[in-house]
Amino acid sequence: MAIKLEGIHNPFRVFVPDELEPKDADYLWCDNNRYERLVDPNNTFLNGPRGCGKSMLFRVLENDVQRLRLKSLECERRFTSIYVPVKSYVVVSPEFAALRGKQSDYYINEHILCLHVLSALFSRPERIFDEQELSSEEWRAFVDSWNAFHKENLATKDLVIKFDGLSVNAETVCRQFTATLEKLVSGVQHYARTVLDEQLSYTDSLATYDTGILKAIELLQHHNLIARDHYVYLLLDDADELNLTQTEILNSWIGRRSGKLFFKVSTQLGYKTFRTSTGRVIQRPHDYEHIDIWTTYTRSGFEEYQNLIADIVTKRLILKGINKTPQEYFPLDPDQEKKILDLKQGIAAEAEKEGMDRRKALDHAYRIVESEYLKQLGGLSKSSHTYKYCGFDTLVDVSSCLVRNFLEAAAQMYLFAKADQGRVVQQIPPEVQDAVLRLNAYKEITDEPDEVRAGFYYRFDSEDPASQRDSVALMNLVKGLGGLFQKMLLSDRSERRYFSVAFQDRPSEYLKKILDLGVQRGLFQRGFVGDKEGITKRPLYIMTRTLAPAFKLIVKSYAGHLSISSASVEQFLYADVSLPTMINKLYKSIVGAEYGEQQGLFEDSEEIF
Amino acid sequence: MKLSELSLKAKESQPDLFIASGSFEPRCASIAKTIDVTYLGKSIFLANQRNATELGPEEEVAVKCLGDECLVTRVDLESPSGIWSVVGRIFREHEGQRIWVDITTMTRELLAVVLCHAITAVRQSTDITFLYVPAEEYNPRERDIARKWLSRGCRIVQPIIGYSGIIVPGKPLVTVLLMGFELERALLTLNYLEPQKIILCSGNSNSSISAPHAEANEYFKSKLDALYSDRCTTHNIVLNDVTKAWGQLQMIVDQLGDVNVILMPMNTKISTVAALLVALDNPRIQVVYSRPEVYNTEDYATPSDNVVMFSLNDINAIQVQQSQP
Repeated sequence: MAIKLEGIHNPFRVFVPDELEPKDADYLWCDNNRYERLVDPNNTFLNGPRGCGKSMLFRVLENDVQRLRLKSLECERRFTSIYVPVKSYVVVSPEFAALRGKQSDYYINEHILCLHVLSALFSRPERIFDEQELSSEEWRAFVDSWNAFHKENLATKDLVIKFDGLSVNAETVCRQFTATLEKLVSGVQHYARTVLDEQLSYTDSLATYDTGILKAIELLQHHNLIARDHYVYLLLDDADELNLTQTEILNSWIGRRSGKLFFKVSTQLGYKTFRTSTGRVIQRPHDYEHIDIWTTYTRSGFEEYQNLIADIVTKRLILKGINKTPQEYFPLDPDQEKKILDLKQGIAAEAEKEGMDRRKALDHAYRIVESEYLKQLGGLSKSSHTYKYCGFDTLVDVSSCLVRNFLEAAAQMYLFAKADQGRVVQQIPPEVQDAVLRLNAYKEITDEPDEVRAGFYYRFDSEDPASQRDSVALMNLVKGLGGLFQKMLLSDRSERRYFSVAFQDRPSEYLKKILDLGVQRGLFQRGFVGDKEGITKRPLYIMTRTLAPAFKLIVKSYAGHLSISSASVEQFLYADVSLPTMINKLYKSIVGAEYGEQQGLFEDSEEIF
Repeated sequence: MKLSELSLKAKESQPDLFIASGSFEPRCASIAKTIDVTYLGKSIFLANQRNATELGPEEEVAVKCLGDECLVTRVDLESPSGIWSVVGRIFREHEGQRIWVDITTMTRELLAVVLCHAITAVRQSTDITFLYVPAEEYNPRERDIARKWLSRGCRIVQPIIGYSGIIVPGKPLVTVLLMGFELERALLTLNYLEPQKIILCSGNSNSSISAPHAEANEYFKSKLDALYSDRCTTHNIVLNDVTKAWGQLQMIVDQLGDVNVILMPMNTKISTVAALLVALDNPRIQVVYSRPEVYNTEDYATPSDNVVMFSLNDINAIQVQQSQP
């Protein structure tokens, strides 16, 4: 069922990385900067919201893809990776979480976690072992050593692999290993269910980190099935879905720092704890490194992200035989561009007439031209909806540094355009780009049920009874800030573009919780802003630019941040019908402050991510 | 069968225990309002612990109708282990008795756990019958099919206790979705699971509870099919007959080969039972439950005056027969 890129219908289709053939994964991969940060032998947490490319990065680290990549680069491979997906697997079944507080909690959860990792190691050998290793006689030696170790060990005797009448080779070893593990998983599942009803003693084998995972890797290396000089990386994908006990166990493993085995752990910003089973906290950089994958690009410059998307688009267009630049494929609206250019020249000329020098006048015109254009549309004809969000750069901006956002929108545009243009879409018209971006923005904030918002409205909360209230508060916050940014954009101030807030004081725990929830759901991005003295930094919350069309905001390039009191923002959380009134009031108090009523209420300075 | 005929059945059967579950829906009281409670030994009414300590108006009606022999038992519907423990205790305490279970307004997670314990109880000589009151119409005040809704959002997607299956890393993931009216909930769940293949099952006008249901079902099915056209195959299944639906679903999963299978029952409770039976017969299959953010509590469904009854003992007999070589 693996994907073959040849003959693909929609060039912008979002793939589940796990289903990609090695050559397809290698072809599609463009992002070497992120890759370089992850390949060093250390424990690493890779954090970022859904869609920023974590699973794809793990796919590229897998050995079958590495073999192709390094062959073309003529480099030597220094590590062997084992991909361990977590989502939907038995390991996250609620019966194991429900053991919390029971005597067997730690042992059973470590056992199931070990079985899961071993299962990932043996269930698809072609992704881990080299071709010559798959047919090697060393497998027999490995099995003999493994069985000898576990036969002697009462606590793990059920991990012995049986070969009644079967010849021992790579295929049978992996198959028998997987079958044995499945039997053990069934047993421990059954135990976990029955223990919910009454205290039962567990009498079967228990795998541990040492007797299960480390032993398997040690023996595989000893028998040259994994190169002896290789580091081994366990790639745990979506680790925030592990239950609390399993998370503590994983942290304990990370805290062991074996020197040969390293953990690359991806999370969607919801990792439950950094405590170990004994209560110690693993710390960075001592125990692990940390990569916030979403902000990698904004840190090193937006241009890098733009180049990445351009590379991705170019490669995907080639798949359909289209030889165009991304800018040609996603064109601007020429009429709108001309009007904006004329307006800009007019504003600059006006400013020069009032005594501004040429450079300053142009800068002034650049900062306000789109705001003025929107005002013209909205103010005179009440048709601000005729402003078109289009052009490759705008699409990149709106994707808010999430590759999946870009691809999903592009895939929708391709589908819509295909209905008009027939078999191969040669260009995405501006009106199609605009329609899709608006649709995607509105579905984030609409209360209407609609199938189209599904891709952006995913929820995965803990079993918190207040989570529904929190969702409403988050939506109010988004609408409140979006409304406020819109009012600022349509004002007559010299600086009008805003997408972010920094608080002048410490926000309440509840406001912080809701903002963090927004970060987790991809509605906000967290950054930092330095104070004027450059001594301290304050957290900055940047609203996703995907929402820009819903609030008629301009997404291009520079935007300032509002420095504002946390109380004035916190009121949005509890808003209902009074939200527009609240926005107006806050806007007036900000504008009032500009005229000296409350100096220092807000300021302009550059964002530091 | 008409609801009005249920008392006669109760008179013949004389159940020792009647289990019902609470809801915001009027259908939670449909059987309680109709049945002659003098033929019931006692009743247990499962009410959601997370709601206010008081019962909702429809629940009040049901409990009042069930009389003094009705015991209200609180169950935390957001705690899978809590559901498992409460339901398990009820069936263990009534082993060997004759039990009627009204599954009409149970959440699918509660229904799955009830079925899992009930099948075990049936094998220990308990006599269990399930009852289901179909809806006359869903979201009746909304005439436009495209705008009908039963729930919004999706807070959590997780395997149901007793149905975790064996999902092996490396094998392709196939989801078998029994599509109902909850398009958004289905899409969010699929979006989370990211399957390589989707088997989309729904009813047609012959096999659905009613023609209007089939029409709406077809509309939502076609929407989903269009969104996942590259990986979706569709099947018609019988939605109003457990045994037939069970056989059809079994055939579908038998043809899937060596893959990971996740079942997403999101259609009627009858077809949900069928899907759950398939999972109980095939321990490698996982069943997931997606908990929505919010239900359409104002206008969910109107009750019909029909009731569907089926004996788990009969189903178990078929299961045993099928498992024999």
